[in-house]
Amino acid sequence: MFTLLEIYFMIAFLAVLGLLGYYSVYTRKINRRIQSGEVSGKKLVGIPRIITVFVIAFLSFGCVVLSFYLLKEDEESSRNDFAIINIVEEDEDPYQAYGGNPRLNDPAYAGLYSKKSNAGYDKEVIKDGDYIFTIFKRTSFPDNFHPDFLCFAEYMGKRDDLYVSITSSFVSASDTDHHLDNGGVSDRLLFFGNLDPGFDFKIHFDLIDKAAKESFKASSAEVTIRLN
Amino acid sequence: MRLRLRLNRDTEEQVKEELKKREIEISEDASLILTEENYYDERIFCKDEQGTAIVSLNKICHIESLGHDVYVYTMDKKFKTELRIYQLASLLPPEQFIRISNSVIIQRNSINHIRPGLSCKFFLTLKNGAQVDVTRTYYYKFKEFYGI
Repeated sequence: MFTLLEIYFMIAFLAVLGLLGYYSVYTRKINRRIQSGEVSGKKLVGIPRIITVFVIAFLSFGCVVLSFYLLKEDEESSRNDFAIINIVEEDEDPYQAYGGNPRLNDPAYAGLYSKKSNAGYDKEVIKDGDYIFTIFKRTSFPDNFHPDFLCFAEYMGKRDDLYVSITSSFVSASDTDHHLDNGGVSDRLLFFGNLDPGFDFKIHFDLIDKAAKESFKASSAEVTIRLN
Repeated sequence: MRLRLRLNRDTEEQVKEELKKREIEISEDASLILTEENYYDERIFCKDEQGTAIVSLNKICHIESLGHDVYVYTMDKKFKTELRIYQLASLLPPEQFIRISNSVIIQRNSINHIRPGLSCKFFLTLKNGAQVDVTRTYYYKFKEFYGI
């Protein structure tokens, strides 16, 4: 496919070619008309006016091409992104990770949404292993200000000596994108982000007991978020 | 009574007959002048190396002012005139002559080749070989005059 610059050059080249063609025809016609002495008949459009028309047409067409180009680029860019925030209140430096859009890297999100209910979102609660997942899925039309999904992940286990390995994945029929994060077990994490159509967001926890003699893996939990 | 006539050709004979009937003498020396509206003389008085020359309007290719001097060009000769270019512009018949810049007047049929400029200009090559420009001020008047 052509780049925007190539398209502009092509349009400019065609415009110059058209202008040269018209210049040649115009010169021939006005010479013929002056030699014949014929004053009546349809007047020809002068070169300055044609140049003005070509410039306006070039700029207009350029704007249309640019609009289509930006629209297409916007369609092609993925919305898949997410962030994880530790929302333990007394933690002054909340653990945070994100994949995709850096603007989600903002702990203030945690204060905007509640675990009980959020307007414009459907709520669902899933329990798996030692975790309870409270999922909110957007019911309104997507915009740039509200995430498509929210997921509060609460650890209900008793052990605080474990390490956790979190795998956050965007999964579609043809594509999988994993993000890995490790750390100590946190009571409550908030996952939120956006999803392209056809993608699911999968959260997988592996709790690791580094001190164990036989099996390091203490337990695991998983949830898949799929928008309607 | 003696009268000097300044009439266009198509009305001249008719007026002469009328004046004869009324016994009015027609003379080029008369101090009284009868001038028709839109009358244009068919010649202008110029100077060349030999002295005063009468140049027929039909023979003029173009008129150009260079500094303080105004020159009348025919196909093969060049004359000097005492008239200023703006005076000539009003003395010459407007259907036969057109001013194309502040310093040039051309005869209608004197153009050999015309080349349009990219801005509001035309570059003319006249039948006597002279090259003159139609300037921006006279561009649209020129287009209107030739219907181009």
